[in-house]
Amino acid sequence: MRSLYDHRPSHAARDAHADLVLTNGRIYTGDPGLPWCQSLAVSGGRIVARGERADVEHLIGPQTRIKDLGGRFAMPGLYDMHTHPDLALAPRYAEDLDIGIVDPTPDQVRDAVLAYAARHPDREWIYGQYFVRYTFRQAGLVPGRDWLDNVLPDRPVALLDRMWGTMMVNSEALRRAGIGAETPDPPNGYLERDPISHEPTGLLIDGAYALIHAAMPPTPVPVLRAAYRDGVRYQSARGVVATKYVHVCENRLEALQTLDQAGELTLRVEAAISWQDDIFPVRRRWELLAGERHYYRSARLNANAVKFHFDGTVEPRSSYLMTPWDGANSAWRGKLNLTPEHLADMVWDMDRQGIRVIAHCTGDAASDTFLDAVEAARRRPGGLGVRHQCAHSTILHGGNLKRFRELNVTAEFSPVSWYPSKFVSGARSGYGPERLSRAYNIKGVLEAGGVAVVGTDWPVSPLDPWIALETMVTRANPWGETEGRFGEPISLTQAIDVMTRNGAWSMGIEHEAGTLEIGKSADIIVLDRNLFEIEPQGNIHSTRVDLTFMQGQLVHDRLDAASEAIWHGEAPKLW
Amino acid sequence: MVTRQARPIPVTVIGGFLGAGKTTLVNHILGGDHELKIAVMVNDFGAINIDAALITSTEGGLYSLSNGCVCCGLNQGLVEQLEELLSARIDIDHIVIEASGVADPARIMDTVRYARFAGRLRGDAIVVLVDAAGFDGAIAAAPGLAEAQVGSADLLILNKTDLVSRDTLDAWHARWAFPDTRTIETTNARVPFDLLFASGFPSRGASSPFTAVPVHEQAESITWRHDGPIDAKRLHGVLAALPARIYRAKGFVQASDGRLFAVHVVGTRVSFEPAAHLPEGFDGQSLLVLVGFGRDLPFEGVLAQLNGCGALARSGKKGSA
Repeated sequence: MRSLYDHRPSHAARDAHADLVLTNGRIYTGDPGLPWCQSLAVSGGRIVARGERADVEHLIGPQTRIKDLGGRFAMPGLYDMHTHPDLALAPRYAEDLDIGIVDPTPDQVRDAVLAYAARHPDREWIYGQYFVRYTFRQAGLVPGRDWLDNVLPDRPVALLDRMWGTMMVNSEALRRAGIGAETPDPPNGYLERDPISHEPTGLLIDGAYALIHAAMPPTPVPVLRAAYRDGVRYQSARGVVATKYVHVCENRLEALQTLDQAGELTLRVEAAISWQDDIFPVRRRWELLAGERHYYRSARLNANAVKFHFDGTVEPRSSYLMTPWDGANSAWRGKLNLTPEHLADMVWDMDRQGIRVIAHCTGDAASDTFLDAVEAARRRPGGLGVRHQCAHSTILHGGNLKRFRELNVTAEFSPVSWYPSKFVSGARSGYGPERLSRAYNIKGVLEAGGVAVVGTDWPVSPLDPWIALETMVTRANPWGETEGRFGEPISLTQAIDVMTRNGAWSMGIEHEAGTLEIGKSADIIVLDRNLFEIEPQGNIHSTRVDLTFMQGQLVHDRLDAASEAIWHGEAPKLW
Repeated sequence: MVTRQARPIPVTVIGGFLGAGKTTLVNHILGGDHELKIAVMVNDFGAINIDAALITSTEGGLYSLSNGCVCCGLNQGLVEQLEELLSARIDIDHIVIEASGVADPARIMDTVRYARFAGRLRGDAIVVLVDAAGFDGAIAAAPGLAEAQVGSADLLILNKTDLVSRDTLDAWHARWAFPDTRTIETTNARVPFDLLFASGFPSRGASSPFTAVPVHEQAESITWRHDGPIDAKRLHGVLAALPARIYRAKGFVQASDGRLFAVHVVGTRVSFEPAAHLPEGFDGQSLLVLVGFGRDLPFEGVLAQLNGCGALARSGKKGSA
């Protein structure tokens, strides 16, 4: 098994022969100097020769594994530069209380809580779903701390209602969260209170959940590890060789490290530490940023990035825009979550530590303000010129397209609504026709000389990178569900660049990965179809990845269950 | 800088499954003679039937009607749209929000009660319409949702009663009326405005503290006054357990700890809002107007219970009505 500490000292003798030779392929290298070849030789995880079979013949020794691709198409592995398998999958492994009844009566809720508590004597909190308010009313009962205290007084309990609008907690949960009559309400929710005494009744609405979540233990490492393992397995099976897990905490890094140590981290991961506690609390944020993150570093894993939400999203109309959302009807332009001054100092401070800033910017005024902050950081002393990343880049101002190149900032796009679908019909009305016409302007960034990358942003869009690749080329619905095209397509070679070499650039590893060139990492995928010989629409997204090589190691093998690959068979169904 | 209204604007959320009569009720409100300036936010603007002749102006998606109402489509984030309405209009008496037929109206009321709206909006009631002929169909179409809608109602309007038999209606009540449910049976969603929107206080000069005034052919109101301080907690308990035929109560209460509350009861929703001072003409007196529906309302018992909420004054003198 590959070990984290595998390393060839730079003065150690090189093996005269290759570890691996791929022959008889139709290999697209992504290198304009030699776009196509039939054979590749790999030694020490790197490509050492390429060309015809004759060009690699001299590297074949007795220990060399030879893989005949049988004329199949191969290319550099894909880069998914923004995604969240942990957020999508951890709840499946958390084994929280699930009452499992559409409309449980209060008695059924009580029984389920007590049974769960008995089954999990070591669980500090009893957390789960669902209760419904109307069955309480039907029974003449009032849901809240008093009712729940009668069920279980001595362990903290928090239950969500089916509409996800209300959380019912007992007094012990309130006590641990430090919630009392004096606790102020959060702006996006409230604590239901006794009107006279102002004591919380134990019902928390919307944003008030966060007060309880903050007091709960973080998601345990084994749960996160199981979630990441599924995500990594899926990504390897779909040909992803490098990814950014955007939003991590100390537990998430630990989970990734245990996978790495087990040899199951079969792709490169750049993990971005959350700058805010809005998704989950990061208890060791400042230690991690000050240097603790290096303890997780390996050839596959680094945490040299931070992520934060600079503005909101389209549906609650909280994207921060240059012009009012609703034309002449109101002045509402959305909002920023951090002051521009906070951002400017933070970008510069992170930059001088070599930490990449990944900023969620959906509105054109958010990305504009972010680019301003990077520009200011570039002028201040001590900066290292880190390639920061504008995440989502949903609506960009035309005047900012060229600034991505000028400032060395990555424009990251997620495919959630760059092709027509039911979802986009909703989003379309949200942003309005003028803004929609320039949404997801991948072509605009590329034409201005900038670097665009793709992030699937799962669970917002599917984790499958091939949907993104197809729809960048077609800007049409891959399944023919919705007519028409949306936005400006780019060519297939441009789209492959976006999902390979541009990803490597955005991770700062373009000199060692992203294309199939001599000296670069052998991150190679072998497909069941030649992307250049098929009609893109309806066909690229269903591409199957037969083999995935990561640093020359076979990590995924779709067809041969007996091979030495880490993962075998089709990609697991995750949604 | 616009000065905000001193008192929070009451908000009614109208919910109910598709086809229950929400739009019909909204049309009644928009065209009704209630002498209130009501802002109505509708879920589907296209379904609303506004007589073009009644529209006096249109500005920024807000239609002003000749009876003082305004109407707009609910087409952006509710928080932002409420903020906009509050900053654009200062003369609104009441806000009505029509929920989508497939939404839980309690979620909309949750937003109305966000801390950011404290002192500016007051959740008045969730009014849920039920199609007496189609409720079983609604449950089949969206299991859990129709029940949740009924479960979140402060006032329940059992509509289209002309389409079913008395037995069917009784069976519905037996199955779905919760112990505290206030139900009004209607045809064509004709809900008395007195029940939807609290009317003003009676004048100071009412002859007796217990005056029953018919305010509608079926609705009756009574006024309770009390001169001494009130045990607010006990009063809250009484108001939360009012007989189901009493639909509304509103007034001011002087609590024994010196605090002054504006009190609103709509069906099952009881709210006590701290108030800075009594309105003009009230001096240190607690006062509640109760509105019931139907004949032989049990006002006497309620008044006795309310009188029992008088806190003993320091002097030991018992408060009296």
